[in-house]
Amino acid sequence: MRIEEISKLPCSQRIVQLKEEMLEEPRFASIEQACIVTKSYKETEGEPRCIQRAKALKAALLEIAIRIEPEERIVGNRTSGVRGGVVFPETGASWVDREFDTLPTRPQDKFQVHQEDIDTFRREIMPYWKGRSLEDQVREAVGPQVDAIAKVVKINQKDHSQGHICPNTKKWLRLGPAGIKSEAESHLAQADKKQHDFYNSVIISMEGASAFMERYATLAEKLYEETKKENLKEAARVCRKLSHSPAETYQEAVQAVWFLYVILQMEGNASSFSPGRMDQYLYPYYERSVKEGMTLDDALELTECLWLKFNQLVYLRNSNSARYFAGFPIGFNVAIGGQKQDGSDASNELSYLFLQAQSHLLLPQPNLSLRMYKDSPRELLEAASRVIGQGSGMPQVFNDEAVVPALETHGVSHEDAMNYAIVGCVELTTHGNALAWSDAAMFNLLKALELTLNHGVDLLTGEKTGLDLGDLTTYASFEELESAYAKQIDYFSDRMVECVSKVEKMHEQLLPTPFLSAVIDDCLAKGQDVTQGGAHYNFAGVQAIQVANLADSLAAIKSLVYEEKKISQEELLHALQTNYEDAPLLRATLLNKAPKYGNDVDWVDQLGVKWVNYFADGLKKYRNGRGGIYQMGLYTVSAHVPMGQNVGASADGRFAKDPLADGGVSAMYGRDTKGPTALLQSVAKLPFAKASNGTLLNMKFLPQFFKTETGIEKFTDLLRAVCRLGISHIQFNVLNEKDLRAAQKTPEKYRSLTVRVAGYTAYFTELAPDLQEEIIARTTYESA
Amino acid sequence: MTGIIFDVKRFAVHDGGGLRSTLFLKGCPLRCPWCQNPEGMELRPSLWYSPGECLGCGTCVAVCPENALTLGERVHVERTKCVLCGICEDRCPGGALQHMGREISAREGAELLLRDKVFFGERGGVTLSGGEAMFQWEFAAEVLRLCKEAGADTAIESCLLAPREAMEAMLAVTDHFLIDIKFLDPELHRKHLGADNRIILQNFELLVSQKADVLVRTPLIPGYTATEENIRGIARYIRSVDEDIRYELLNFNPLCRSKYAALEEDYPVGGGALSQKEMENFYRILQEEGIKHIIKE
Repeated sequence: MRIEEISKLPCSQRIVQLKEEMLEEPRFASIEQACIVTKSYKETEGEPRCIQRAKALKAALLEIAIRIEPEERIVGNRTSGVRGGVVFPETGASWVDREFDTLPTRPQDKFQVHQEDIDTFRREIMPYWKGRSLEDQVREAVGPQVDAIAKVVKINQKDHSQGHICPNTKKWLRLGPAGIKSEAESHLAQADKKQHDFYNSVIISMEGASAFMERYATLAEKLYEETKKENLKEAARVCRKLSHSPAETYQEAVQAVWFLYVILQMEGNASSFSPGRMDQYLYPYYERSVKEGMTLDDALELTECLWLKFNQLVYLRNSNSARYFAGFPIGFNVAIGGQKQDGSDASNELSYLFLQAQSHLLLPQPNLSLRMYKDSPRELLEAASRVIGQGSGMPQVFNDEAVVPALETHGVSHEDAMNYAIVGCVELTTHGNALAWSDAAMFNLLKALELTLNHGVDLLTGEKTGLDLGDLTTYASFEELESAYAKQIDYFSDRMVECVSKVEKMHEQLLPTPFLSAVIDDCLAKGQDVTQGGAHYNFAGVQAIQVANLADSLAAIKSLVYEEKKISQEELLHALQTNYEDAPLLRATLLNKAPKYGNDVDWVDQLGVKWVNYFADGLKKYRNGRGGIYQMGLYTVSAHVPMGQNVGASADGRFAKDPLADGGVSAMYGRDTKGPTALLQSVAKLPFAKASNGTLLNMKFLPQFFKTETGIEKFTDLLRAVCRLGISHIQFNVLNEKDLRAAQKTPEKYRSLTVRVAGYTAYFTELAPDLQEEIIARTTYESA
Repeated sequence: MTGIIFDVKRFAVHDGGGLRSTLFLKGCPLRCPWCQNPEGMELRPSLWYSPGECLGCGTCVAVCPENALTLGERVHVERTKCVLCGICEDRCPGGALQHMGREISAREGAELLLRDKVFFGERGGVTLSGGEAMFQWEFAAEVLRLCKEAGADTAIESCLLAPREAMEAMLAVTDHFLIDIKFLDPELHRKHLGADNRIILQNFELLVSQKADVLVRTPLIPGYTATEENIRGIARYIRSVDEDIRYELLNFNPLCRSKYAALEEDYPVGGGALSQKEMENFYRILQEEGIKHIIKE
């Protein structure tokens, strides 16, 4: 392997220019696809839903405005502008109607708007979708149930289609749209009526895909005639070929990958379709092109063209959702390294080229993930450490030693588990055969504790939303409190599962996704859409939030109230009810006199472990809407800020509405005072085998650590230890406070500064002020 | 076998190779005016007060059975009255008062260090520091013996002012010696640090003759050690003892000033860290003196 050579490859002028142009272009909300789709739906009224969907997609593929930049080698987008916020009325029109005017001014994820678009939307699009969109139908079907539990359980996927999917890109490369169309046609003969519709919907979608590629070929040819730029001539050839034949060279494969993801986003407009293990399935194409004379520089430039493309699609969320998932994450998650299915090392030259691309561009996408295992090559870990040290928060690191057993525990075959990929931020999936519904809901364990301590009454609103099992003063012992808490969790879990199943049913009725289904095994074999359960694996994921605050709160109550009796039950309850208004010393006692999660204090950490286990085990009795099981995740993305706003004062000394601990399994910021090894030892006690939906651990380092070879060595030693400890995921923010303060003052100078928000990276200056402050406050490990 | 320690640092990245855990032992025979760990100088434990954590609530004053505490702008500890009963520490809501120094067995010491064994890997291990790691050398040697027995790499940070038997005991259990030579001139050594350096240099030569793995370090303290003459002299001397000697210059770190404030003492060193240019100048001197292995953080 030419590792050394790859690490010295420069970034080409073409890439520098394309990157600048991309970042300079303003973001606009776009209604173009909404107009095309709405017109199509009106014409196909009465046809089966999957056919309506396929025809709407095909219409968009045929009619949407397309554009190619003169310097581009990899082409394609779903809007004519870059980073356009696509209005997608099939899933949500009402919120767009409510929020359209404020998109340019909202605190998080702003988009510019054209006034005529707002007018067109209200005149032509909104009236058709009112009452018909997923959002409105969900509201009608389960609105009150969802609202009733909202402070404890946030039900997701109510106004957009489900993403977090890793399609079978390998198959797409092997067959292309024409090959997949033939496959669907071959099934038609034996199909029943429902399957018949499904296969037809696949055929229509694939016709659209081929036509889309041809349109790009024609446009590139036209531009070539005007400019005589060789890159355009080649792009035209590639697009033309892919419209009817499979890819053969590296450039063809990269272009084919990009078309797949653009079209998936046009069909689904979902948060995250992930390419997964690209260094594996692209390798044969790479190898062939290298044999035919492709240079490393050329391979890197093609890769970087794709890397830029990953940044040209962003995701328009409603303002509330943008707070939970701030910074337009769209989750093109690319995994490198790890093991092959037979356990041998999987890394290859592409793994290193992808790291080099990341090191050059330092952009939020792709969400680059390194798979690490006990025998990961030293060179790979060191190369990854150097890129981590540059501070883009990537690659984030996943641990095969923890992930593979977790997946196997949840019914995944050994071969599929060994071939896992990551979707979205940190969610785990098999490759090309799962609809894991990773983000079904978020369960706020701390809020459930609040209700248990206070007669089921919300400390912030005074409303009774939970079970009345007593209050802190009526529980004679800590054990009594714990048994009440268990009941409270059960109560909300039951209600959560009912809501999730109903939301899933609405997706099945309203949002079949034939194009996606064609690249998820076993949909074509079964003749079933993914939303109907056509995938080989059908999971649903719920996040348990937030272990640090829960463990800290329970530890304080257990030790200071019930054991040492330094604080009385009445005093503490009153202090929680009044947000520590007149009890600064009591709050200080809670903060300083009870040990905290993240310091390797066993009994405290075990309180977190106990309730995470309880929650995960409780999920076992449920089945989701597609017949699969539930999996637990331990991550919040940026939701620890808004979820904290829902929780009153807590016994860990946290004030009402303050953010929760970040990430997922991180300690509460500033409270892990024994350094990173103690934190990691605490984290390692959590039951990662039960957290097969994904976990998230944030650590922040200062850049000095990575400045020397010794520092890089020590950092890789740390990664090896994380691997031995069996921690499933870890990611690193590398920056200093001065950088961040400067970025707040002069955002224009820091436009490309990216930070790790949670399971993804965003532009720091595009985050809302409170989230910026929160990132600055997170514990920093100086070079000890 | 017991000893008195005042801290354990996990994830120590400056105390030897790889990731390490460092145990800080109390007591030191020298009195360096710039000492980074003044709380480690005396062998006996003391009450430590952190003004930054103090809420000014007066709880400690009220609960102290010896009336050793008074509250003004800050809490003042009458050290002659304090019997280290620990009541104030237990009750202080801010966590501003704590014992500096506790007695533990060698086995406990080894356990504290080995807690992070999973991080040590091929390069890391345990380090003893202080105070002076060899001030309680019997305890120190036993802790390292237990760590070695558990398979850990061992190191000490030491000023080498220790009796011959201590050196022999440590040589048997220590993989790496990170030693300080602060002044080459015995007079300056005596004047600033309270003892001359004859034994220190003898011990250094002993380590070299025993083929121990040695890294020499000099803290660059403005107004004290950071002179061209001193550094040139040390470099020339250590090079004459061992032509392959590894030498590291530690830039002054003024962060310990807050510790002196907490002790209600003045810190005698003014100014901040040396500039990049000043450091480069010292490195040039080392090169001129033929130091082959200049270690830089």
